[in-house]
Amino acid sequence: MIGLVTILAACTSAPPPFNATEVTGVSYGTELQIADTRGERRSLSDFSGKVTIVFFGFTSCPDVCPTTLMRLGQLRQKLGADGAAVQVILVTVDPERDTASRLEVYVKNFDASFVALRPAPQELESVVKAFHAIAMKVPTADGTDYTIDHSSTIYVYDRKTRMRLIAQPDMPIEQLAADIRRLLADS
Amino acid sequence: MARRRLSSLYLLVSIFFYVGLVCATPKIAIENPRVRATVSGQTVSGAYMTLINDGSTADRLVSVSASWAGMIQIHQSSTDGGVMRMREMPDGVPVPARSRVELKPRGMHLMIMQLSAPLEAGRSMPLLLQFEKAGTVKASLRVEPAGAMP
Repeated sequence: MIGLVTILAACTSAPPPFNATEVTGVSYGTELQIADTRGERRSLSDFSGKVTIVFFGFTSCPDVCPTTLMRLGQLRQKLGADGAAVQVILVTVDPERDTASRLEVYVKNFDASFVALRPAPQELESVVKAFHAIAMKVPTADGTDYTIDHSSTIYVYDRKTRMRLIAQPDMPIEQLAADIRRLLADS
Repeated sequence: MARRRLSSLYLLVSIFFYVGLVCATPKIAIENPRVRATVSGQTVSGAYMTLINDGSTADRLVSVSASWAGMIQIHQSSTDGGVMRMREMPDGVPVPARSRVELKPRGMHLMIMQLSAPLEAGRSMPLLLQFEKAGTVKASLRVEPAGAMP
């Protein structure tokens, strides 16, 4: 009986599910061109050949954004030699305060390989919409400053720049690393 | 004889008074205070720590200050339906009696603003924490590299 079940299981075995949420049939943001910190317009396909991880944030964020970038840096390290084939991209939701030079220094502080993209203020809304995300300026209580509420989703693209996974930043690093390894193994 | 009684009474009352005073004043200890290093141009950082109230009286962290930052606020991060938000906690952080309250990544944290200079990893930054009952408590924030586990 056990033998029969095992055989059946082997016959019907599908690849195990990813830890993150698997996405098929849609690919957000792949048609966009956004300026990098040197002013060159980049598209996600520029990074084809690598597994690309896209995340929205801003440099005036004291907690969640730096924590996520730190964890993505640790993820790259955890992957060892494979980490070289992983590209992390931060897209700022605060182009007014995040100048290109500020962004460049900021991301490099987490990992020398990280890239930052800076939509122009007038482009921000369409960029955020292309990722089916949100970003909203929220003034502080005294009105002198603002914070930005924004989508926390991490978007993962395979080596062919197809969007494959979406994940939340509180996902255990080992689980996301396992998913990334599988995408890296895919040709 | 009466005098002896009186001084004994005095002693007893004094003891009760001091014991009462000690019991009523919360003792706040700060554990693992740390802040993330910043780079030039970055005027904001986040600090974390554990607030320990060993006493039998509830207390509340109401404000924080430092000479090296123009403003420090207490904030709470939250993720709600995939959206990150951060809000000031205008009433501060309650620290119940005999409890530990953690300020940690993706939760409550100190938002350090208007930094006068970048925070360099390895340094210690002095901080003044103002509690409702315990008064001013000093802490020393360890500056952690941005890439390290906070």
